[in-house]
Amino acid sequence: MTYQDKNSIPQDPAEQVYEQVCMGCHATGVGPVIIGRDLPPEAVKLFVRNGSRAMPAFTEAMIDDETLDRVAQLVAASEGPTAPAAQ
Amino acid sequence: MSDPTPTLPEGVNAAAFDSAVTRLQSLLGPDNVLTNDEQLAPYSKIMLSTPDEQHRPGAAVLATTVEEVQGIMRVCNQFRTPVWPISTGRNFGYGSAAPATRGQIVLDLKRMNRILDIDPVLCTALVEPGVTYQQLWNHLKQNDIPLWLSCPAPSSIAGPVGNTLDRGVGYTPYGEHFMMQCGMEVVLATGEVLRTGMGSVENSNTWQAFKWGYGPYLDGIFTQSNYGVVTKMGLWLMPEPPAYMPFSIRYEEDDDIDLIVETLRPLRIAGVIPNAFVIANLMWEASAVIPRSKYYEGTGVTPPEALAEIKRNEGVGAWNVYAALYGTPEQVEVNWNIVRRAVEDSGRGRLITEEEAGDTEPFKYRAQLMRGDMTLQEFGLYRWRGGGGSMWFAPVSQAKGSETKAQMELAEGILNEYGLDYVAEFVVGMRDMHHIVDVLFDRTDPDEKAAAHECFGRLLSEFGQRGYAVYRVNTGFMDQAAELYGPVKRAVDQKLKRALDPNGIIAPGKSGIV
Repeated sequence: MTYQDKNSIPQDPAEQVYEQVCMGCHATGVGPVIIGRDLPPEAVKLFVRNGSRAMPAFTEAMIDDETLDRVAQLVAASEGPTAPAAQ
Repeated sequence: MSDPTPTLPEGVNAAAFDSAVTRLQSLLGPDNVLTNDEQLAPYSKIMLSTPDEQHRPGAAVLATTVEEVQGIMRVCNQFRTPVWPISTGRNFGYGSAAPATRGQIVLDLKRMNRILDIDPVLCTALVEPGVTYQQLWNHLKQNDIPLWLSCPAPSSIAGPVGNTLDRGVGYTPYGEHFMMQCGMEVVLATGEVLRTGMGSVENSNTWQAFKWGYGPYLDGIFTQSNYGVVTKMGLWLMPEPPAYMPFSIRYEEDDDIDLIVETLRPLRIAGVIPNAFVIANLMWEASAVIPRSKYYEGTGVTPPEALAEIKRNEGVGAWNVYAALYGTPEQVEVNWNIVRRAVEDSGRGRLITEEEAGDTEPFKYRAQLMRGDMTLQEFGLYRWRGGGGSMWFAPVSQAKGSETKAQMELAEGILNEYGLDYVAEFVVGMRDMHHIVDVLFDRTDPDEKAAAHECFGRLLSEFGQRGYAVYRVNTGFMDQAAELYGPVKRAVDQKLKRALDPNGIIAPGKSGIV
C-alpha cells in the first residue's frame, strides 16, 4: 500500500497505525486478512504485543496502549477483505 | 515493582540489578522502566535460530531526553549493568530489539522521535533515533518538501538512525546509507556528549553539511559498535528528480548472474545507473507474490520442477534486475538508450518498463523502494516457507561476474545440504555487491531450527575460508563473524571499547566486542 500525496495520510494516530502499519501487510496479501473477520480486540492486541511467527511484535513505545485499544477496535469493526489472504 | 525473578545479566547479582532498576525508576519514573514479562515480550521476539532465553532482556527503559540517557549511563556504570540501546528495534533477521546476551537492559529510544531539522535548500535532515521512515516520509509530504528518502525494505516501521548505524542499505542513489550520513550526537558511557564532525564547533552551522570535521573521523566507530549511544543523527536527502524511470530486466538461467554483473557493473560505476540496484533470484522474486506452498507442499529444498513451474506461471526470471534512472527527461532518455543498448548487445535479458509491468507485484514495490516510498511487500519473504525464522547471511562480493557466481554456488550448495532454500539477491554497491541471502526456516520446528543454526555457522566458516566475510550479522553469530576479520582488528576494537567504556556497560557482545 502506498500513499502518494499528503491528503492520503491519516491525521488520527490510530488510523495512521491501522493504515500505514497494519495494512502494509494485512491488505497486501503478505499477512493474513484481518479485516471483516470480527476479530476480538483482545486477540488483536495480543498479536500486536507478542507478534506471531513472522509477524513482528510492537512495543508500547511504538504503539501506546491507548492507540492500540483504538486500532484493535478499528480492526474489530472493519468490513470486508479487499485483498486475497496469504496462503 | 520489578519482577521477583528478573533475567539477570552474566556477572550481575540480583541485589545489584534490583538496585539499578530502583535507581532507574526514580530517574525515569516507574512507568518508563519495564520489568514484567508482558511488557518485555515485544523486546524478546526474535527470528533467529538461537534460543529465546539467550536474548531475553532483564528490563527495558524508555528515555525521552539526552539528559535521561546520560543518567542511565551513570546508573549502569554504578551497578555494572549492561544496557542494549535500540532506536526502533526493527532489525529483523539481525536480532530485532533483543540484546545479544540475556539480562541486558534494553534502552529503548523510540520515544526520542523528534525531527529536529529539515533543510530543503541543502537537502539535509537531523533526527532523533525513534524517528521512523514513515514519520519522516509523512513529514516531508505534509510540508510539501520535495525530498526523497532511501529506506530498507521494512521501510515504514524501521528508522534511519538504527538502519544507518547498522550500515544498512536502501535502493535509491542514496542507498549506501552511512555514506549519506552527516554528523552525530553521541552519549558516551562516561555521560559526556560528543558531537561528531562540525558539530563540536561552537555555533557551527555546517554539522549536516560537511561529514569529516577535523582530525580523526569518528562517526564510523559509532556504527556497528557499542562505543556510545547515538541520540541525534544527520543525513542527506535526495531532491525529487523531474523524471524517474524504474525498470526491470528478466534473465532465464541461474548462470546468467555472471553476464548480468559484467553487463551492468560498468553502468553503475559510470553513474549511468545511479541507484543501488538489485539482482533478485527466482525464489526472492516469487516470495513477494506467493507462498511456496502454492507449488510445493513438502519440506526441505524446493524441488527444481516446482521452481520451473513457478518461473513458467508467475512470470519471474531466474534472476530479476530492478534498477532506475533519475534526472531530467532528457537525461533519463539518454541513459535509457545506453542501458537498452548494453542489454541488447549482451544477447540476453528482457527489459521491462513500468508501462509494461503496470500495477503488478513485485515490480510495483520495487519501484516504490527505488524512490524511497513506504512498502512492506518484501515481508512476503517470511511466508515463503512460514514459521517465522529468518537470518540474513550477507557476504560482501566484488562486483565481478565470476565472483558472484562462485558465491552463489557456494551458498546454494551449503543451504541445500541442510534442506534450506537459496533465497537471495545482490544489492549493487559502488564497487561491491552485498550478497544478501535470507536463511528462511520454520522456527516452530526444532529440527529445522537446529539445521538452520548449524547451516549458518557453516556458511560463515566456509565463506571465510575463501576470503569472503559478511558486512553485518545477527546477534547470535557476532563473535564468529568478528573472528573472520582477524585478531588485530578484534584487539583494536576491544582497546577502543575499554578506552571509551571502561566498565563495558554498553551492548556487550555487539560485533563481538565486550
